[in-house]
This record gives sequence, structure tokens and C-alpha cells, in this order.
Amino acid sequence: MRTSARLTPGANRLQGGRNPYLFVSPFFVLFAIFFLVPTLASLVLALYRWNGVATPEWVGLSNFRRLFSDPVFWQVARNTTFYTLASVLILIPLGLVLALGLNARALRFKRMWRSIYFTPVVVSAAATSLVFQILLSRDAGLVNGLLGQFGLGPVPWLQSRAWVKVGVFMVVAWRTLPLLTVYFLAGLQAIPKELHEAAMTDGAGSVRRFWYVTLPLLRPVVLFVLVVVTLNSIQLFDEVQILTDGGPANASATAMHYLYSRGFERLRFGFASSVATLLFGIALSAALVEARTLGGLGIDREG
Amino acid sequence: MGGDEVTITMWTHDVQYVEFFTEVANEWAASEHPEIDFTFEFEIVPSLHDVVLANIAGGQPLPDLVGISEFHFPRYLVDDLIEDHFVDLTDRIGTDYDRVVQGRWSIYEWNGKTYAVESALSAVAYYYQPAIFEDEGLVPPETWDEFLESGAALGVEGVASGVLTDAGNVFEFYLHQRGGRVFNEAGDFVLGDPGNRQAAMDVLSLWREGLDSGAFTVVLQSEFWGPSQINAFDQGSIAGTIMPDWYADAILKPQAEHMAGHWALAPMPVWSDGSGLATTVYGGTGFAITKASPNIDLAWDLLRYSYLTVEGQVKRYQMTGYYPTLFEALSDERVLVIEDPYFSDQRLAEVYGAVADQVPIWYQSPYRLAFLSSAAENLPLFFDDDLNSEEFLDRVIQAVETEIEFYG
Repeated sequence: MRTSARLTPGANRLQGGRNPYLFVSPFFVLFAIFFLVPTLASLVLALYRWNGVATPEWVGLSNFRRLFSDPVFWQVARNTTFYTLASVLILIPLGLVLALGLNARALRFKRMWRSIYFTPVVVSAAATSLVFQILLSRDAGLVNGLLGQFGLGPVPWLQSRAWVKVGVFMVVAWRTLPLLTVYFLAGLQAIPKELHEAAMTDGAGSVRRFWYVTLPLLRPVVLFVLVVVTLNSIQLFDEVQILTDGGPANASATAMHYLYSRGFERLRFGFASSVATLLFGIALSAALVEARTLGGLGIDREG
Repeated sequence: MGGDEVTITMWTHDVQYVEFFTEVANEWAASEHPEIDFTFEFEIVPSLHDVVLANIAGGQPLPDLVGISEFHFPRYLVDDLIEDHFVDLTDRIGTDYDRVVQGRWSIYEWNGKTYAVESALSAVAYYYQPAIFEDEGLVPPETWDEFLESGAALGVEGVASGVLTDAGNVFEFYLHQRGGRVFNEAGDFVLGDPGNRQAAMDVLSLWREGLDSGAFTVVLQSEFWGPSQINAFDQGSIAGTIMPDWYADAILKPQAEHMAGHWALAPMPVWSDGSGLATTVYGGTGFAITKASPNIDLAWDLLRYSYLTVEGQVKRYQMTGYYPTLFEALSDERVLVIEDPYFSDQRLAEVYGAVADQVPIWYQSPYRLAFLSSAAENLPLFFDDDLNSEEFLDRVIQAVETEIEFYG
């Protein structure tokens, strides 16, 4: 019995010509308007002095010279590096562990646990930060209250230059970890069960199965999570602005906070653009290095 | 002037201004312009100044009136934006200028012109808990020397008499009380001038001595306005705080309702050598009129009616708790007789009225935010004694001078 379908005369035209481009164009139009054009404009604006209203004034590389000669910039750069490394080295492994737990066959009420774990993601950064500002209060906060029950603290989470980054990171972790867990969970559930069964048949225990079956197949997800976490850390702003406004003494300030306080608040948009340009370059480089290191996404280029 | 139907719009950050202006505007319309059918659109706009500046940049509509806080006023001075987009009120104010505490005009002046009318005296006083002082046989200090002395006595008991924080404008207001200035009338940075530098050093010495003896404690900005400090007041570990008139209604009463009757107000301690002023100021919001307004004359008339008449200022005080800036209103019986139950029925206007003519005259600059940021960034280091007074001051001065050199 013949199974081939009879194609209508016009069907071939769907696969060629301008039609494929028309179908994908909405995304690229929006991409151009809301990303490409502003990015290029920012790159150009970094070479100007502009208050947002008057005609921009050409200053060449002065904004960058000012940026690199500002000790505060280097301080916020170190802070941003701290948040990035902490997020990559702590949150990613933790997210994977949580996902493994939420994916375990022995876990009952899976949907309930997954919903609970996902809740922080749906609460805005502003609301979360405002609540944590109270929770992390040195004398009136719940966190120190709990620590006190064990004879510890009080810890000046937001009042100490030594502790403030830890305090901010706790809030970042609260919001970020559930999202990473969901990404990993989706990746784990995409791994065919047969592969695990085959490995078990060959005598592989849970550790070996994780190392030789799960992890390699999770590589695309790991790369995705790594890029997302890196980019989010480089752009960290909301929590810092609300919890500490970068203080005390810029100990918690990030590069994005620096861009906002030095650029937007003082109407120095050219300078703000120079910071944005630098961050863009760093983020792009980081993403490319990560992609190269982890061997790309493993996508079939022939589609 | 509009025709029969006119819409007056206003943007502000504070709901109290919306309520006040709504009530006064209706009175004004009925009494002063019964021939006009007004619509008043008074709104709270989040991130008000970002929105206003973005609208200026984008050529988008602006309201007739904008409430510009003194903290954000420097942003409008960048490249003289204020001159291009806001109405010079100098001539309209005219002789009313001398009826108002001058220090509340100067903060909205630029290049010899006045652009906004202030909403509140914002004078600073000493909020203290009398019971704590009485328990130790002490009286509230009248001078800084007395403050340090009684503060040291209380400090031994683990009780601070005042609170410092890493806000540049707190350092600034202490400096103003000492008689120093950061910027002059022309907007030049003068903190490094000998007199101003000495005033700053005096303030820092006062703070250092107070911190070392326990008279002052530190609560950083991340917790200064929240429950942590209120908790400390409640537990008696902080006996008082030096804050402006709006602190009571904005912070203390809403967050420490249960402490009603535990507080009293005293004048801010003064410098024992007699120099400096009896008070200083912290905060304030001035209402300005945009050049884009199609109703400049009417907007000014409303502003004048609300803010430059005794009746308007008395009503504003009654509705918002923001003290009058008109000398006549400050001495008006309706203001003076108000007894505040939170302060054990004390007549707070008597405290502020007595020092109103001592409100410092100081000036703004587009570089003020650079000064405030640098001071805020270095104050924690000073508090921790990682920077001495000279080092702190040198850092702040250098930061501002670098900014001026780059953008000047």
C-alpha cells in the first residue's frame, strides 16, 4: 500500500523562497528594535558625553579612561566577580542536587514539592528584597533570631562590609536556585529511562549512572544554566539597590549598580554607556568561553 | 490663562501632597476662579524624577507642577536643564521672598533664579526619651559638649544618645549647622576652603569622640529607616536621635505607635563656642512649574495660594505635619497651640519656631550628588576608624574635584 501523500502543487513553495524568512522575521524585527539597535547605540554613545537631553558631545575614549581610573569601579568589579563565582560554584551544583532530589522515584507528592520550590521565582525581586531586608536585620531579623537559638550571632548581614555580600548572595540564591532546579529537572526528565535501565542491567550503581549517563546528557542544560547564571550575576542590580544601595562603603555594589548610580542618577549617559559596553564585552566573552569549554550545545546543525 | 475648562496636573512622590493640594485646590478654585471649570489631576509617580527627566529627554508631556525633592534637585542642574524646562519664579515670588525662611529658598536657586517653593521647614531637632535621661539623673543636652558628657555617662550603660548613619546628607546637615558649606551661591565646590574644611573637621571630631565614648552609635542606611532602629529605641539602647521635623510623622509614629508618650523634642545641641547655628535642615520638597505647562499663570496662582499664604501653610501643617516656612505661619496661634499626644502633648511648633530664623542658607550644585555619594561611601570607613578625619575629608574632596575636572 502506498503511503506517500500527494502534495498540493503549492506545497513546495512553502519550503523555499521568502516564506521561511517571513515566518521567522517577527522575532528578528523585535530583536533588532529592542536589542540590536539599542546595543549599537550604546556602543556609540560610550564615546560621547550626553545628559539625555542636549546634543551629545564627542569625547572619544575619555569615558573609558575615567572608568578604568576610578577605584570604585575596580571595587564593584571585584564584588561582581564574587557574586558570579559564588553563583556558579554554589548555586549550579546545588540546583542539580535539588533537581535530582525532586526527580527521585522515591519522592512522594512530587508536584507539591516542585510547586513549593518554584514559588520564590514568581515573587518579584523587589518584594523579595524588601522582605529580606527585615529578615536580615541585625537586631530585629528572623535569621539572627534563629541563629540565636543555637547560641550564634547576631550577624550584621547588611551592616558589615565583611558580611554584606553574603547577605545579598543569600537573597540572590533564594530567587535563583529554584529556577536552576527547574532547568535541571527538565533536563533530567528528558533523559530516556531506558539508558538508566541499560546501565543498571550492566551493573552500574547510582553514582556511576549519574557520572556516565546523567551528566553527559545534561551537558547542554549545564551550559545553558552556566550562561544564564553568569549573565544574571554580571547584571545583578535589583537586590543590591533595594537591600543596601551598594553599601556599606560600596562593599555590596555591583557593576550594574555602579552604572545606575554614576550614570543614570547623575545624568551621565555617555559614561553609563561605557560601563554598559564593557559589561557587554565581558558577558559575551564569558558566554563564548563557556560554550567552547563545554563543547557547544550539541545541536544538529543540519536541523 | 485657560478658557472655561482647565486641567491642572501635578506629579509628586508623596501621597500627603496629593491630599493637601486636592483639598486646597478645590478651595482655591471656588474662591479665586469661580468662572473656571477645573479638573485637578494630582498623581503619585513612582521614580518621579527618572520619569520627569525621561519625559524631558523624550519630548513627552510634563505636568504643570512637579514636586522636586532637594535631594534630586541637583539632577536638574546638570547642563542647566532647570533653566530650559522649569519656570523662573523669582519675579513671581517678589516680596514674598522675605516672608519665608531664606534657607528654604536657597536650595532651589540656580544662577540667581528661584525655581521652586519649599513645602516644609525640615528643621532638625533632638528627639529623645525623657525617661532614659531621668533614670540616670541627666537632662537633655543643650550643647555638643553637654551631649558628649551625658552621652558618655549613658554610653557606659550601653545606651547611645544619638545615631549616625552613612548618608552623605546627614554629614552635610551637621556641617551646615557648624557653619560650613559644600557649595557656594555660584555652585562652586568650596568644601576644601579653610573655613569649610575646619567646620567639617569639627563635625568629624565631634563624631569621633561621640563614637569612642558611646554617645553616638551607628546604624547604617540599610537599616536606618526600618525596624532595627525602632527596636533599639524600644529596648532603650538608643535614647535619642537628631532628625528633622518630618521624622516624627514619617518614621517614628507609623513604626513605633506603641511608644506614644515616651518621646519629647528638644532643640538640636549647639556648639559651645557660640559659632554655628541653632539648627540645620534635612530634606524638603519644592514645587516647581514646568515651562511645558499650558497653565503657568494658574499653576503659579495655585502654588502661591497653597504655599505663600498663612492659611495655606497652616492647613498644610494641619494636614501633613510639615512645618510652615512662612514666619507668620510659624507664629500663628493655630500652629503653636497644637499639642502632640505622641510627645506627651508637647507643643512642637514652639521648638521649631524658636530656631526657624537659624535655618542654614546653603546652595546646590550639579556635583552635589557626587559629594553625597563619596561621603556615604567613605563614612563606614570613618565609623570603623579605618579612615581618620583628614583622610575621610581628603577622599571626599578628591572624588568631587575629579568629577568636576572630568565634567566641568
